Amino acid sequence: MCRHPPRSSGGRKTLVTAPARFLRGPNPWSLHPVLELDSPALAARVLELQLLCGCRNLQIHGPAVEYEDEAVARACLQAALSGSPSEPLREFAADILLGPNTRALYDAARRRNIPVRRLGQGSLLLLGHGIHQRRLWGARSDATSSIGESIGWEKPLAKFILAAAGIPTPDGRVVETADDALAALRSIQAPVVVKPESANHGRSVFIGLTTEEEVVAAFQSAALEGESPRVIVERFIPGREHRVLIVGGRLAAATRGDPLYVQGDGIHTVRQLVDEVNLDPRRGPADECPLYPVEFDPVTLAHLTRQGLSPESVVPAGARVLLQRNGNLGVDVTDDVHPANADLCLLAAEAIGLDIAGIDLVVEDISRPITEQGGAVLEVNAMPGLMMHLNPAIGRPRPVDDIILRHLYPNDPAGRIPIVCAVDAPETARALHSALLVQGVRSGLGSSADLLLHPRLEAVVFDVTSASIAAEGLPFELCDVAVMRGPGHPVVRQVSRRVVEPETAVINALAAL
Amino acid sequence: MEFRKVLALRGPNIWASFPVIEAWVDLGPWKDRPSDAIPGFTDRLMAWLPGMVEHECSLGERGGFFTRLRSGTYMAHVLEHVVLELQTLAGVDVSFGRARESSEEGVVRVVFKYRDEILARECLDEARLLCLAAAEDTPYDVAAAIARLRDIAEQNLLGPSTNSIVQAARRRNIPWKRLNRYSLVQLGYGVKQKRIRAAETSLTGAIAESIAQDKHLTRSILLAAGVPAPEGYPVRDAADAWETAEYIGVPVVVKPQDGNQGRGVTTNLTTREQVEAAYAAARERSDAVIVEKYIPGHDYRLLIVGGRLAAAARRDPAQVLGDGVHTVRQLVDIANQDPRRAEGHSNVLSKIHIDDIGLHTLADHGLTPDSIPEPGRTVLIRRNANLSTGGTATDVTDQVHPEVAARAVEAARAVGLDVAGIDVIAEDIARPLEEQGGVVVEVNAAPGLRMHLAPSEGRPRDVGQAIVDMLFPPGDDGRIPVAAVTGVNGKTTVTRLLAHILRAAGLFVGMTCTDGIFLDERRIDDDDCSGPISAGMVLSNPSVQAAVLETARGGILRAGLGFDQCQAAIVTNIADGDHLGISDVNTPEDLAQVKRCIVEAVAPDGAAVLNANDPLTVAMAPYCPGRVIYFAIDGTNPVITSHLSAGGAAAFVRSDSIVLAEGACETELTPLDRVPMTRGGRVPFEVENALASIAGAWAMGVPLPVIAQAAATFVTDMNGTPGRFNVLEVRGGTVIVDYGHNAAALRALAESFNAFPHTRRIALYTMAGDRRDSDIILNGQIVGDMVDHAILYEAYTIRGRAPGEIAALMRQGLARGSRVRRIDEVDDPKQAITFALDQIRPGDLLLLQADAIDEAVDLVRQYLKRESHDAPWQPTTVEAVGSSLSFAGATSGRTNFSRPAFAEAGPCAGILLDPPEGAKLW
Repeated sequence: MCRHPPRSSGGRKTLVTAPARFLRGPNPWSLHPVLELDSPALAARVLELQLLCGCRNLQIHGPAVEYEDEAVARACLQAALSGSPSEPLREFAADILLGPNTRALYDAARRRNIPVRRLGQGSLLLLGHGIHQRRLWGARSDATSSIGESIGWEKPLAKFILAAAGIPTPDGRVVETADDALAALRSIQAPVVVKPESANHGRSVFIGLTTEEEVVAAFQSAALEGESPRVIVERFIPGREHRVLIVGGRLAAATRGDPLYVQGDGIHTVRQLVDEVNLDPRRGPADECPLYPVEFDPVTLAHLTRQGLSPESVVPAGARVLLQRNGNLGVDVTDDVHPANADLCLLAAEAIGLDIAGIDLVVEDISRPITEQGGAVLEVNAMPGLMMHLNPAIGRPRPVDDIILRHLYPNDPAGRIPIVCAVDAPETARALHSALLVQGVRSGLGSSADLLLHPRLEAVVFDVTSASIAAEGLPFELCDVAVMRGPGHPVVRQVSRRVVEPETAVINALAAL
Repeated sequence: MEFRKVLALRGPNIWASFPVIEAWVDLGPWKDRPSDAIPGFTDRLMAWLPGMVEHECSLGERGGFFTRLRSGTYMAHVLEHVVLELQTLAGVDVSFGRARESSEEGVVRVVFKYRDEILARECLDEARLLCLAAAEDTPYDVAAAIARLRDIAEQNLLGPSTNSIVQAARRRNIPWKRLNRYSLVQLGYGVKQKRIRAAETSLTGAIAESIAQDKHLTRSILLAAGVPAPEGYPVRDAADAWETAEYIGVPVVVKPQDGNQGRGVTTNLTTREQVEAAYAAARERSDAVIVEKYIPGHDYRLLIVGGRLAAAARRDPAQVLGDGVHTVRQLVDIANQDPRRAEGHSNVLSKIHIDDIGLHTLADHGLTPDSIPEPGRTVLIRRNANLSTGGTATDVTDQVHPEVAARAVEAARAVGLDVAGIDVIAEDIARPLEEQGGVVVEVNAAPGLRMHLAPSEGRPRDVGQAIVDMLFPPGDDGRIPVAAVTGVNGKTTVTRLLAHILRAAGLFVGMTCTDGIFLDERRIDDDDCSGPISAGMVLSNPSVQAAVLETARGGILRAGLGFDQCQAAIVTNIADGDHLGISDVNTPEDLAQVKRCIVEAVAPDGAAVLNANDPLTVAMAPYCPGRVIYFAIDGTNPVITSHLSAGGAAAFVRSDSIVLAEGACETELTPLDRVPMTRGGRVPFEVENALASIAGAWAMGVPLPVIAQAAATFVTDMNGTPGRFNVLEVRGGTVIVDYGHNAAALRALAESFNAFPHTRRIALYTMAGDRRDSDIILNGQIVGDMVDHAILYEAYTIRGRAPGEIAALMRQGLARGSRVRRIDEVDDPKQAITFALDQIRPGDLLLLQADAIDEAVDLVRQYLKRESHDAPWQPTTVEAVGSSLSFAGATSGRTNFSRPAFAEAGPCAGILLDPPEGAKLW
C-alpha cells in the first residue's frame, strides 16, 4: 500500500494500489498537473472517465494524464482498475467538482492570470499568493461580512434597516398562526403576498392573494416550507420581479423575471402544455440552464385554481393560462436600469453591509425610478447566484465573474509575489532567502506549494531538485527567476521568466526581482 | 387596580436619563386604602419578598421601605417597589422608581427603570397580581412567579458575551441599540456604527467563518501559515475511521468536521471499539467526520482580538471528585447545585449532564452513573473541556509564552478572523508549542467570552473592552454630530436650516421633522417624523454623517428620546405653550419640563441653544450638562449681557447683522440682508429662527464662513420649508403660506404683517380639535385683530369635536377682534384654499394657514399653474451667494413668482416684491 505524505490540501490519504502518483505542478510530462500511471492504456481509461464526469480541457501524455480535481481523478483511477459502473462515479464527481458559480469565478481568475487554487471540497477559492491573497466562496468575498449575510436572512430586521436607509419595502409582518395571518391581511389590505420567513428565493411565495381562504391556504403551505412556522404576510407590490447584482459599490448586472403563460389549443391539458414548455433546451437543472422546468408546485397550482383550472383541464383554444407570475429571472435588463434605481440598490447593499449582494425588487418598469411607481425592495441576498447574469435566457450575457475579480483585484498584474526557484542549489536558495530577509522582504524558503498560501510572505524562494520535479512536479506555475546551472531543467526553463547561474544568483536574482 | 396604559420610554425622558417604564395605574378601590389599612397586607408582602428590606426608599436606610409600609403608604408606591424587586429577583438589578399622582384622582404614574422591555412588562403584570393577592389575602405562588420571570429573563436578556461588549461600549460612552430580539447590537451612530452579534463583529468575514466551521479546511490553512496543527483526515465510515487511526497512530480524536462547542468530540481513543463508537457519536452531529492525532496536554483557549492576545484560559473537562459516599450521579447533582452553573450559556458555568458521551467516558474508566468512586478520585464526565458541556475555566493570560501567542495570532489571521478563539493543546502554555509538540486544534469564530469574563479560577479579563477597543480606536466614541431641536414654534424651520448648514459643510445629513425624514436631499417619508422611531432610523443609517432631529413633545412623552446624547439642543421658545391639556401637560411649565429633556441630553462638550427672550426656555439652562448659547434679536437682552459677561456665548443682531459673541470676543457673521429667509431682517420670528440654527451650527463646530454662506442660500419657499412663511404672489396680491397654529405663532405672524404695506388683509384659518376651547377662542381673537376678512374651515384634525364646533369657537374669538369686518366659512379644506385664493385682488395680503401642509402646498401649486400656463411653476434655487431673490412683477397681469433673477447682479437687496402699481414693498 502506497501512502503519500500527508498534504495540507485536503486530499485523501488513502491511495489506490497501482503505481500511481500525482505531479501537482509543472512536470516533465506537462505544464499542468498530471496523474502518472504505469501504462498509457490505463491513463487513457482514466481520461475517458474524467471526461465522463464533466472534467474539461484535459490531455494525455503517454502514461500521464492531466486531471482537474485530485479526488475525482483518484476515483476515476479506482473505477478504471475495478471496472465499477460509471454512474456512481459521475454522482461523486458532480458532488465534488466546482459548481457553476465558483467555476465561472475560477475561470475568470485564470483568464486574468491571477493565481487561483481551490482548497477543500467546498467552494473556497484561494486567489493570489502570500500577502496578495484574497478569497472567494461562491459570490462571497473575504470582505463579505458574516453579520451582513445573516441580516439578509432575517427579513423583518432587513426591512427595518432598509427602511432606515429610505429604501421602499412592502408593509407587512411576521405571523405564526392562520388567525394572525388574517389579521395581517385586514391591516395591510389586499392583495397580499404570503411567504415563509426563511424561504429561499421564490419557493412557496404566494402572490396577489385577496381572499381569506387564499391567505389561510397559503399560510399553511408556507408554514410547511420554511424551517419554522414563521410566515410573512406583506403588501403585494404590483410589477415584475428583478434581481440587481451589486458588486463593490457598483451595479454589475440586472435581470428581470417575466410571467409565464401557456396558450391553449382546445386539445391539450395544462399538464401536456407544460410538458411542451419544459422541452425548451434552456430549461433544465438550475446549475446548468437559465430556466427551471415548470413544476406543479403549490404556487403554480394556486394560480391554476384561481383561473378555475387544474393540471388536467383542457385549455380552450386561444386562452392564456398563467403559470408563474414572475417566472425565472431570465431577461437581462442591465442597460435599462434607471440611475436612481441603481443608487437605491447600492444603498441597500451598503445598509445591510454586503460588498456583493443580490437585490430583489419588484417594479413595473426598471427604467423609471421605482419610487415613482410604488415599487419596493423585497430582499437583499448574500452570495447571489451568477448564472442568471452570465447566461440569461434572453439578452446579453454580463461578465459578472470578471467584475467580481475586478472588485478584489482592481489592477493588473494581480495577486503575485516574486518567486525564485533554485534547482539543485540548496545553498544558493538559502543565500537568496537570507538576502531577501536582510532587505526587509518577508521571504519564505521551502519546497511545498503551501508556502504560497502563507498570508504574510512577500516573496518565496523554492528549493527544488530534479528528482522532486520528476516525482511531484513543481510547486508553482510560474516563477520570476530560476537559479540553475547551464541549460538547466527544461520544465523550469519553460515556466521561468529569467534564468541565472548559481554563482551570480544573489546579485542577479535580486536585481531581477 | 388596572393599567390605563404602559409606556416604554426607551431613551432619556422626563423622569430619568435612562430608559424607564411608565405605567398609568388606575388604583380603583385601592386609592383610599393605604397599606396599614389593609389587614395582613404588610406582613404578607414582607414574607413574600423579604429582599425588599434592602429598599431604602425615601428614608435612605436599609428597611426604609418596610417602615413606610408599616406606617402606611399607597398601593401605587407598593407596586413600584414590588416591580423593582421582581426585576431584581429575575436577575436585573435596578433600583430607580417613582410614583406620581396624575391630574386625575386615583390614577398614578408608576415609573421604574428596566433593562429588558419584555421582562419589565411581565414583571409589572406579575407585581400587580402579587399586590392584589397580598391585599386580598388570596393564595399566591411567589416561587413559581419568580421562576417564570427568570425564564423570561434568560430568553430575553443579552447573553454574557454580548453584554460584556455592550457594557464596555457604555463605559466608553459609545451609544448602543439592540437590533433584534437576539444578540445583534448596533454600536455607534450613522456612518460610525459597527454591528456586533456576540463575539462576532461587522469586520468578521463570512468566508472566514465558513473556514473556521470546517476543521479540516482550517487545518490546511494553519499548516500553510506555519502554525502547528495535528495530523488528521476526513473519514468515510467507521471502518475507515479505524484504518485512519491506525495510519496516524493511536491515540486519536474523533470529531465532526463542522461541529462546534465540543459536541460529538471524543478524545484519547486507542481501541477499534472506542474509535467506532466515537465515529457513531460524531456522525450524529455531522455528515462529515474527521480523525486526528490525539495530542496529550491541557486544553487552552486563547482569545485573539484584532491581532492581539486578549485573554487565555485553561479549560478542564466536566469532572467530579469521589468521596466514597455518593454515586457519580449524586456527585454530578451536587456539582450542579453550584449557583454558577446554569442551563445553556446564561451563567458562568454550565450544568453537567451524563449523556451518551458521558456514559462512554465513565465506562472507559470502568464506572457507571451509579458507581461510588473512592475518596479523592477524579471522575471525568467528559474528555473535552468545553464550558458548554460542564467544564471549568482557569485564567492563564499572564502565563502565555509570547511565541504561543504569536502562533495564535497567526492562526486567527490565516483563517481571517478579527475575533477568534484559538484552541491550543499543550502541556504548558508558558513554553513554545514547537518544543513540547503542542498544537492548535481549532479556530473558533464568535468564541464564547464567559470563560474569560468570569473564569471559575483566576483573574477575570474584560475582553468585551478589547473588542470595543478594536472596533473603536481610542478617541472614537462612535458618535456623529447630533442636533436636537424643539420648541413650540419655528422648530421645523430651524431644523431645516441647520440641516442645510451641515450639508453645506459637506456632511451627509439625516434629518427628521414634522415634514418627514430626509436623507441628504432625499425625502424618504412624508409623515410627521418628529418622534423617536424616526430619529432611531436616521441614527441607524450607515450613510448618515450628521443628524438633525426635530423632537416633538408627543414622542418624548410616549417613548422618550430617540437618542441618548446630542451635541446641540436647540429650544426655540415655549411662550404660552401649545397642545396643552394632553397627557397631563396642562401648563406651559409642564411643557417646558417635557421639552427640557433634550437640554438634559446634551453631551458635556456640547451646547444648549436657548431663546434668551423666553423665560421658560432660559430656565432650562441649569439643566444643561454642557455649555449654553443664548440667542435673541436684541443683544442688550439682560440674559445675554450677563451670560456674556460671565464668559458665555450668544447670537444676536446688531446693526442689521448677525453677531456671534463669546465673552468679550465678537464676530459679525453676516448682514441680515444676506439671510433671505429673514427678508432683510423684517420678519422677526424668522430672524430668531436663523439665529437659533446658526448658533446650533456654531456649537457643532461648523466653520463660520460655511454657516454664512449656507444661511445665504437657504430659501423658505414651498420647497425648502413648505408651510413655513412661504411668500408668493398671486395676481398682484401677496400670499403667505404658513403652518402657525397657536397664539405665539399667530402673534409673530401679525408682527411680521406690519412690515407689509398691503391695505387689505385676509386670513384662511382653522384649528385642530384637540386644543382647549380657550386656545381656540384666543386664536380667533388674534386673527380678528390681524385681518379684515377671515375665512374659516374645518380641517381633517377636528379630533373628536362635533362638526361646526371649532368654527363656532373661532367666531367667538373673532367677535372680540378689532379689525375683522367679514367672516366666511367653507366646509371642505380644499375648497377653502381655492376660495381664499379667489378672493385676492391686487394689493391684498392673504395668510393661508396650511394645516395639512403637503396638500395645501400642492393645491396652491395647482392653482398657480392654472393661473399661469406659460410660466409653469419652477423650483426655486439660488446658486450663488449674494444673488438676489426676486418676486418679479406681474406686469402682464399673469403671475410669476419665486423665480430667481440671476440676471440681477450686485449685492443682495433682500426680497423684491413688485406689486402691479410698481411700488417697492421693501
